[in-house]
Amino acid sequence: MNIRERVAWMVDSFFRRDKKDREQKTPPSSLITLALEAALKKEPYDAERLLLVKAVCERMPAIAASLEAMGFSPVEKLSVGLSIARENLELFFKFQEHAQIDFCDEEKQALAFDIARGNPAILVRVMRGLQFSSDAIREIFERSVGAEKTLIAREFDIPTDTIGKTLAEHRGQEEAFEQDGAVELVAETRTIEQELLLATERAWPDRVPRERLRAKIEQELRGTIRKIGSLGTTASLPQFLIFEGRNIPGIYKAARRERENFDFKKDVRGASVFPEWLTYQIDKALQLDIVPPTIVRDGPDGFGSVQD
Amino acid sequence: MTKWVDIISFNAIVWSGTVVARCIFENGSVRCSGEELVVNLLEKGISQDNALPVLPKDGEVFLQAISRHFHNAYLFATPVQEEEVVNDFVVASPKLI
Repeated sequence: MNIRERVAWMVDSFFRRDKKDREQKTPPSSLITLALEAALKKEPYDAERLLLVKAVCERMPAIAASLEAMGFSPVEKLSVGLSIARENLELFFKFQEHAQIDFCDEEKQALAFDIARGNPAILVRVMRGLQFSSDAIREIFERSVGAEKTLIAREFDIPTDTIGKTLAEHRGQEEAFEQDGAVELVAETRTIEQELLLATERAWPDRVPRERLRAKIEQELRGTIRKIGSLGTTASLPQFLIFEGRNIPGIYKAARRERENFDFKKDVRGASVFPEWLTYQIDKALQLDIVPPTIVRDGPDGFGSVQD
Repeated sequence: MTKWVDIISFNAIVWSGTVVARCIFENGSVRCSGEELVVNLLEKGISQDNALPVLPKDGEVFLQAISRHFHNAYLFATPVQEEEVVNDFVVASPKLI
């Protein structure tokens, strides 16, 4: 019996016994502790472990009751909760609700930072899940301004570095790409970008610092590519790129990989590349700051858009 | 006790949040103030799955609908907040590095 089967058996037998135990008013078994420990081992991104965590967490009310009965301190409960949160945020909120963990505002903020690790989407989900008030949200943003450099230099916790391929490996599998006017297209976008930047700086001198920050990110996205890997099977077949000297991957959509989807005209290459780039230019001009920096560049599979 | 919901816009470039609209429940209906675009959208009501849209005149139900409806990373709503006195309408200005 391997560890997965063993823990699954323990969890099952615990919950089977749990019902009887409740009827007989006997204390809960310590099997659940063993199950949690086994399930929450520290090796990251182990699919089996995630399945175990899921199996355990689906029985959250019973677990919370068990922890309570076993005399877990709030700190210990929080520690279990945090381990769950790093795997699955929704389950963590469920756990928090059932285990009745109350955070003070400072703890909530620290927790939000810890879990979000610089990812805005996760930060917002944590803030909503923990029912942050407007004041707490404002405070977290004010705090994050001080921590901005760390956050911007965040390291993605996704295992892209291990699953990506080096360019040599990638090119060995992919047929050579014919340029087909790509150099001119990329040069044209650069010219437009530079003209827009100059025009913006002339018209709104106060925007200069922000525009320089953007330009720096754009320049990083034009850097040397170290690794490449697939990100999914949607119509534009996106890939991620890892750059030299940069921790944050970029999303690369090569024009030639676009599928002949009913959304795209068959004879139009780059149907998703240029709209993305143009959206970013419009976003920049209107100072909306909703679209992440996007450029058009020549990549391992030919020209395509690269987004921060 | 006054109930209200804030709608916050998140700026991923400078990592800052701004309150773009505030909806306060008073006299049985909800009054929204803030950015014109957002306020206009809110006044048209919020559509719901398998149900009629909710409008500001629906009161507290509308507040809860706002809180559920705006959950994007870049535009999101706070939960329904309840205090004796509504604090000032705070606009956190984006700061640059």
